[in-house]
Amino acid sequence: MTVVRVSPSVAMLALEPHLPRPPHALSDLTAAAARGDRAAFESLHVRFEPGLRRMFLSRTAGRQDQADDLAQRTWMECWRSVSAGRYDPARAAFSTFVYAVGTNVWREHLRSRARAAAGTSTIQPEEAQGSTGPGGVAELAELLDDLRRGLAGAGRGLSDEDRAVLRAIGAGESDRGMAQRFGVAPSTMNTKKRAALERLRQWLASRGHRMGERQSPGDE
Amino acid sequence: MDDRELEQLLRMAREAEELADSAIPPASITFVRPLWWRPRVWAGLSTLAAAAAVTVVWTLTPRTVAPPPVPTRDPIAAAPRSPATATPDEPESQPIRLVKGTNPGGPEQSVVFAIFRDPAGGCSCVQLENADWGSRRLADVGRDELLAAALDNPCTTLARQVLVVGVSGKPGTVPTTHDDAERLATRLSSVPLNEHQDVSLAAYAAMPDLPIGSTVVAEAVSFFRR
Repeated sequence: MTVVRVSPSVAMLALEPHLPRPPHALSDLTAAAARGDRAAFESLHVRFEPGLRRMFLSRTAGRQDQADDLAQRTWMECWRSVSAGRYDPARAAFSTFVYAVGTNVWREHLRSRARAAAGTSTIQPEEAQGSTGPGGVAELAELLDDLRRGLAGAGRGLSDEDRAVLRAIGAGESDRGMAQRFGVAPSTMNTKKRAALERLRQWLASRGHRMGERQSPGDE
Repeated sequence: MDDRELEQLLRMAREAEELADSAIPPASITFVRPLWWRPRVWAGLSTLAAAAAVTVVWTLTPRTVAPPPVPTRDPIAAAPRSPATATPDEPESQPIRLVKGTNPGGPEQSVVFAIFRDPAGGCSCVQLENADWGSRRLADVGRDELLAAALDNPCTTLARQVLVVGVSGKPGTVPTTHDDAERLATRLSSVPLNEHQDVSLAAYAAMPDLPIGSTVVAEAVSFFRR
């Protein structure tokens, strides 16, 4: 029997010694998981599993068996990375890390499908290019997390209009749709879009993401 | 990195954002039903019956221990398994009477146990917390307040059911140790938390050494995740 004192007024008896008391807040859970706390990791798994599975369901055009398999592989890889100390909560949010791992698993899946010469309509060739190793996953997670922070308004270098344009690009809006929404001519919208992307490139570079020296997203 | 690759990164960032937003909130706990509440009128308890009639959610049933029973049987076995086998209407089988804040005077010490059960029915962990109800007694504490005290900082977020047991009495007479908590969890481990189970009686029966004047309340809640 493992006895853990939680606070002077709270005592907890863990009847299963391998499952110590998991923390409550997401940040605490993430920090505990990064230290190899399996119970905390399982709590994170519970929280993010539905979203991850939904993402794979979307990518596999509703194939539940594939989505389940991909999600499970993602979590296994996440646990391997976390338990090996390859995830740093200070560098990326756990959800972003899971997303990066899931993206890597998805690309490996597409490559294996391509190798089996059984391409499906859901496979996009550019997506299937390459997969990244453990360090690359962490790097991608950090890049995406920085990007998320930038789009949320952190730091300088991106104006409100830039962020709005970039969010519209991320949402997959067409140039024509964006032009209508911003109330400008398509040519003007195209100019704004290019300018916003250029400022994003500079902003990421200022954050230490050297685009020319790293793999492109499609090659990760 | 060209514009196309940046656009792809932006799409990935958006997907990552969606994954972050999809996270299930912690301890998304919903009371499925009060497990042991049965609308019956207990003889001589018209005051509580009236209170229960206007407060549907109030399912807390404080019990004051009458002369301590001699545990001639296994405490859990002595607990009623269904309304058909033993109910609070049978005073000869359960020497308990329902009261509402009528404990004799003097300071009161309260503890709240939370026994977390996993989906398989096993006990994941047991939490023991000293409770301070201010000037009130345990018998005056509402169901929601009791559960909030027990579930404020759960030792697991994966539990399917939680059995919350509040005990109060004269300082030094209530169970407050880890061994007490473990013993209670063990004795209640075989109690099914179903609609017909009166967990208060089972909780009371699991603590046969409580002195006169002690109060026992118990509540079982089920969790499901949205």
